[in-house]
Amino acid sequence: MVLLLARSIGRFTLLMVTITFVVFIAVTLLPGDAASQQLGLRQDEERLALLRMELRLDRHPLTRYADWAWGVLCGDFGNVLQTGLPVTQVMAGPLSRTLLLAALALIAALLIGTTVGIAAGVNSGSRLDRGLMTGAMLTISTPEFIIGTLLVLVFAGWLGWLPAVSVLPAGSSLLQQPQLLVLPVCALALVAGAVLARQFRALVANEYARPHIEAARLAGIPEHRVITRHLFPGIAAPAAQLIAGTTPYLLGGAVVVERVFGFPGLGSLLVQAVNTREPFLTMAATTVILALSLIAFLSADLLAKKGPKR
Amino acid sequence: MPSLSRRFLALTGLTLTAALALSACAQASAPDPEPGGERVLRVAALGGSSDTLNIDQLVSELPQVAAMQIWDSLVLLRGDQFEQVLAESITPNEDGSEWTITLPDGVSFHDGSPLTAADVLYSLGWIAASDRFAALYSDYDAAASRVLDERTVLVVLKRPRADFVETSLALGSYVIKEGMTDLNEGNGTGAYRLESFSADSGTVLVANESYWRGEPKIDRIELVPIADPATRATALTGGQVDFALGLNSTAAETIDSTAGYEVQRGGTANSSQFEFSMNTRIAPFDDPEVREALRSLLDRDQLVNIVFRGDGAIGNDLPGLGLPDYPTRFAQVEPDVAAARQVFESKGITEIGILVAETIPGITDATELLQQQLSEIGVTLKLEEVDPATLYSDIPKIQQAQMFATYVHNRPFLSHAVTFMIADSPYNWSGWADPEFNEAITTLQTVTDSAERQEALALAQDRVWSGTASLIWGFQEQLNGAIDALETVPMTQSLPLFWEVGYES
Repeated sequence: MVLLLARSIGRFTLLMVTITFVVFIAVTLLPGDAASQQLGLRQDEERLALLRMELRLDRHPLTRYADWAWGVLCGDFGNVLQTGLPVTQVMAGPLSRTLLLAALALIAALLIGTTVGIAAGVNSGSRLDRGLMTGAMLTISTPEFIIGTLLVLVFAGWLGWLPAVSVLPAGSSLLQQPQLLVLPVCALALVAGAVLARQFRALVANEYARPHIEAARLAGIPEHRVITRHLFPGIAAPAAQLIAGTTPYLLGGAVVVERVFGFPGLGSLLVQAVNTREPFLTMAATTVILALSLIAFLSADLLAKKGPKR
Repeated sequence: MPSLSRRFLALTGLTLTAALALSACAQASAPDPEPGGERVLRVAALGGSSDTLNIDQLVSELPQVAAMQIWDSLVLLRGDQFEQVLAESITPNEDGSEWTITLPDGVSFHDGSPLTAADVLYSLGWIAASDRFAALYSDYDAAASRVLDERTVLVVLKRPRADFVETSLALGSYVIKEGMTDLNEGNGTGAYRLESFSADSGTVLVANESYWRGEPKIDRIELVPIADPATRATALTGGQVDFALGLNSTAAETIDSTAGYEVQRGGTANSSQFEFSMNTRIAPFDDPEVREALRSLLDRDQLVNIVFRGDGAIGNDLPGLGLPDYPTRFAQVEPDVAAARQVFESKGITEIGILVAETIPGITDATELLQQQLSEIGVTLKLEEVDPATLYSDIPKIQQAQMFATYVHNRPFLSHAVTFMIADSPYNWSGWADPEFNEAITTLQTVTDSAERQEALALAQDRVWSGTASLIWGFQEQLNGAIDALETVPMTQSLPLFWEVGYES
């Protein structure tokens, strides 16, 4: 187990270094930099050179990457070049909101995924099963921004129950304005829930056909007990693996969904950071999304290896 | 990368427009402010996540909106008027190289300290040394300028500048407290005090009850940062804000047709000036006849109707429409396609190149329309698209292109001419160099005599008109959305002034 964990941490580090390096280089390869953005019309070679020196953009990309990576290891994500604010301070608000969005979406997706998955799985082959799975397939194949728009259409447009955009009133937090979260969470959870439902259905259907479940049912144990006592333990480990595997999607999907609802999260921050060519802000936002995704993937792997052989 | 992100933005825009249209159906009327309660105004403006209140640096709109309410200026450009705010009088010496500014009595900062001449002198030094405003104050002599008494400052310039008020003070003259280095502390003499500023969660301003020009009508202003114009519009029609600064034409159409909301138009004084610059350094536009031909080809009606969806004014190749000094004596240019075709055919011109960067929505569309108009007379326009992020890092490239599609903020004739039209300006894209024009501008900068100035101004405008170096084809008004109950918000250089604004009872 210790060996397994050590290997996972090794893979995590290797992947982090490789991917952040690639992103770092990609950011430097984008046309323009923070200096050219900052100077706008006033730029000439002399001014650009001076400002690049001041912002330390004139050094070799490798040196800059090494400096950045060392800083991150020491907990310093650098400053926003244009205004000098620490990146961590700029990122704190958006990050916490995106994490809240993703966490709530995960819970909602679990509810949808398990309910639909089990209902379809234990009735495998029935009309209900086919209906549910067609619905799930349709949801999965619809892009998030269309789902988002449809939700806005119905709940903000026709019914007028919820706001169409997630605009935070000045000085308040999302927890004080929970209605702003409903539609973005639903848009994310529907897709993630549909994916989970299909995967759960397969697990459940497979497990449900196994002899010990059959035996339990023949012994006269009520159906709900069969499901909770005999079916669940069998699928717990692979289910946990599936759930962990959903997290990266939720983070990536959040970036898209945030755009649809004008949600002030990490996605909006990332778009802004790229547009203004802010290297440290872009890197910090990507690194956080990447680290969380990798942790989720690797824990899914660990769970798979630890779980019973099937 | 640019095309992908543009497509993504287009999709997002589409989504939000649909949302906007729908939420507009649902919300028939805007919520009226509570009678007798605290009068709050919620404003949506473009904000960036790393903004600060240090408006001397590059920041987005929201901090500038806040600053405009917190700090009074010496002079503001309002519509076609220069309004002296903190400057009770501004008097030049004979040649315009020294300017005496006196301050009104009884003005104090939010912390209670009185406004003094020392504050004004400090502010001018601060603004002249700042990243954003330095170009306006290149002739300001910080070492020689001084305080004359408690309420009088003597501004000394490095050379006579008869246009000091128009081209320097009116475009940026915030007055801050002496010694202030971090504007995030607030403390101005303005109508609103800073309660809190956060790039992340918005900004709150509260009325300055002892404001020297009279108590504001609104008690509290909440500024919410929203990056996307369509989202700002949806937030308005969804009842989440009362005023949305800066809409696009599509959103404005929806808001216009929704009961309870209105579009407040900034007028041409607060507009963006769109132009096609022709490079007079190289063929074919080194030939004035060709420039004239393109001028008579251009269908400006079509451009304004399609690109601005009608929300704008047709340009007549002169800058500063709706602002002081705009001449009305020139007849509007009308298209004459046959004449244009004849010139292009006789000169054998079949292809022209144009540099395009979407620095503001609409530039590419306008250029594509020009392409269509040119193709009708058998001329191919080849678009070279450049990433707006890097456009200005390669100014020689702009100077080498045959044509350049661009925009600038609409500014009075002289300030525009000084930056974009005189021969030695690096931003003179067309490379147009007209000795008579340059001389007239120098006169305008150095002569204080009114009659002589009028003459020089008329001459300069005549030269621009007959020189035809840049086709200034349209002015796109700034469009703001508001709930019906809100009185019209006056604007200065596309920023709102909330001091006199209240809710209609």
